[in-house]
Amino acid sequence: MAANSPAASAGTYRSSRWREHLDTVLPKLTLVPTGAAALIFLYGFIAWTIWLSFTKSTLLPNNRFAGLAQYRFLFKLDTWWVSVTNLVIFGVLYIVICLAIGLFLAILIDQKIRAENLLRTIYLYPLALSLVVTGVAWKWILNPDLGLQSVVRSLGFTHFTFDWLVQPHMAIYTIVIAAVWQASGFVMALFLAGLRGIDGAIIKAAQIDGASLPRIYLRIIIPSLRPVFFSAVILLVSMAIKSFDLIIALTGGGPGYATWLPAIFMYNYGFNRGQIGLGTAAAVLMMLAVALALLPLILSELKEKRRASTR
Amino acid sequence: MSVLTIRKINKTYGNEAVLHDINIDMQDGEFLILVGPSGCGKTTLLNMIAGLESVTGGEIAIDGRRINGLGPRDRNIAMVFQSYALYPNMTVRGNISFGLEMRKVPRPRRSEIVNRVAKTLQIEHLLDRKPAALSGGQRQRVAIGRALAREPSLFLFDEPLSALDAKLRDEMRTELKILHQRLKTSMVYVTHDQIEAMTLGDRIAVMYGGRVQQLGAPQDIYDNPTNRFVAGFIGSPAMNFIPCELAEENGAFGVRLSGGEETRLLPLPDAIADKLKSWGRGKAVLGVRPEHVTPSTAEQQTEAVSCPVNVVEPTGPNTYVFSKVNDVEIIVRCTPGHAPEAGSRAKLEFDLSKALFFDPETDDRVA
Repeated sequence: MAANSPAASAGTYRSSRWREHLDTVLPKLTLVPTGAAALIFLYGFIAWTIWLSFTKSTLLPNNRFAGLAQYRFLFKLDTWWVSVTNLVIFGVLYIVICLAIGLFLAILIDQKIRAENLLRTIYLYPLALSLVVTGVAWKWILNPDLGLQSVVRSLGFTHFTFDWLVQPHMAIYTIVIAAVWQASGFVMALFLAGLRGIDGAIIKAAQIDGASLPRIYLRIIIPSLRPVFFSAVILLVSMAIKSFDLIIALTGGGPGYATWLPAIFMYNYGFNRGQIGLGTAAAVLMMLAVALALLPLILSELKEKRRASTR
Repeated sequence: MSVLTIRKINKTYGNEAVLHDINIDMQDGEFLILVGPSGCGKTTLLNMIAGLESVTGGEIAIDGRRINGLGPRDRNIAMVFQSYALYPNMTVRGNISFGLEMRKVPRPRRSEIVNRVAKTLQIEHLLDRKPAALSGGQRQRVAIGRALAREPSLFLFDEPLSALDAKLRDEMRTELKILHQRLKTSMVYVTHDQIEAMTLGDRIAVMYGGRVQQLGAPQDIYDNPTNRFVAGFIGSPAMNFIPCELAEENGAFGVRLSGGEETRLLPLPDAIADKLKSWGRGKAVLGVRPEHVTPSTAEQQTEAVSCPVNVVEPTGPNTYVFSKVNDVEIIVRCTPGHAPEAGSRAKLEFDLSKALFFDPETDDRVA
């Protein structure tokens, strides 16, 4: 018995050591598949895309180095510049209008109204639709022969014209309309959550301080929603830059290439026209654009946080 | 001159009345406390004074001017909220000067006032910070500073200390009292904490069920509560209420008390006895504070009742003994050296000259 016990205790000692070891390793082990997948399919393919944009790849990827030739060619293409201009117009209008409508609706809903849940659901519903459905629905609504224009004309206003969908210079704005319709309810939900987080006593305090309601919103409430603006802009920027399916469904990129965005450009050249090198060059520039758009925002927010925490 | 006059104020939400016939007259420079359990209407009353809630009936006047229909900004008041309600996007300086800015005070005068207020409250080093970077006590100071900056006729405080931890709350309580003594401003202060009410108030309005149960000086309310609610609410630990029989034996009028063994008749002082005799009923509720019951040291004390000692709780300065009289639990305050042991029996002496009697049905005080 006495001779037995040291061996037994050594045994349990070893198994508990092993267990302890497992406890520290297991969490890391479970993260490995996700990490590996991200490494290969995200960063791996980003790296590959960047490499391909410097090659002479056409229908199939190849490794013949071409330097900046693809980029030089890209910058000479009218279709590319139309896509970029469209992205600027679409992106700015989409983000600004979504923020404005979202904030406005959120403030209205926050006024302790009746049927709040119902209205909130209604405003949020467009987001539940896929972008393709949204695109098709708006395609019909905006179609001069089927939709809004023909309805208003049949009411007797025979000179009413609303044919942006088929006007090359106006078609991009129809995409703004459909995209705003789809996303502003979502932005409203973000702002509403932010507004609900604001202590109601702040409004009372400001009233006693002598501020009118519009003043209270402009000076106190909207500025304190800063973090919500931050997340909303980040989400909207990324949604704007990767816009693809809505345009395919609504205008198909047309009339002509009037509503191309860089994503459509990239798809067209990379996969339809057999110019993978050119497509990847466009993709790399899109990625840079996202990074450039979001980096200052992220940095300023981080700085703000650090300043608050060190004090 | 009275700074605040509340006359026959009523408040109803739909069919539900939350305040009934409130009348308060407050003198200039007075520190008035509205105290009561949650749901008694004290915060509603404060919000009505502030103009944040409408008045259903009656009249409120500040500085002799009727203010019923006026908005909060036109009432010449300032308010400190329980949650501080600081503007999160502004610095401390911005918070304090916002009210002045809204009232179009010129910029140089504004910074003068901010500096003066910051000096009074010792928050000069915090002026450029945002509220998120402040501790609870500092936020409370800023909230008070924001109220002070405007020099209103009347300050309203809505449970300003209840969000602080116990130690800080005691410190801030003393600071508030010092501030009031120094500035001599008129303050209405809502709290549910009866210790805050006792220590801070010049006068206390004890509220319950939408009515002011009693309005008076703290010590007066403590010694002479008008009914059982006030008696039980003010004082910690709470007053003991013992249902008992009133009887006369051998010419002595008194109360029958029993600690589970023999029943004793304890004679009452003449003044109380006369009141009870003229009230003329046989049963009453005896109210006696824990400090007016003491364990007897003398062996053969005829006026002491033998009672069980169930629990003994030392708190440092005092030791509280839980016992049972007439089948209800009572608390007795003892000096630590003289506390009986738990599980034993002790003879308890009742100081009946301080005793109060309540009607068992209406809870009103009868003697």
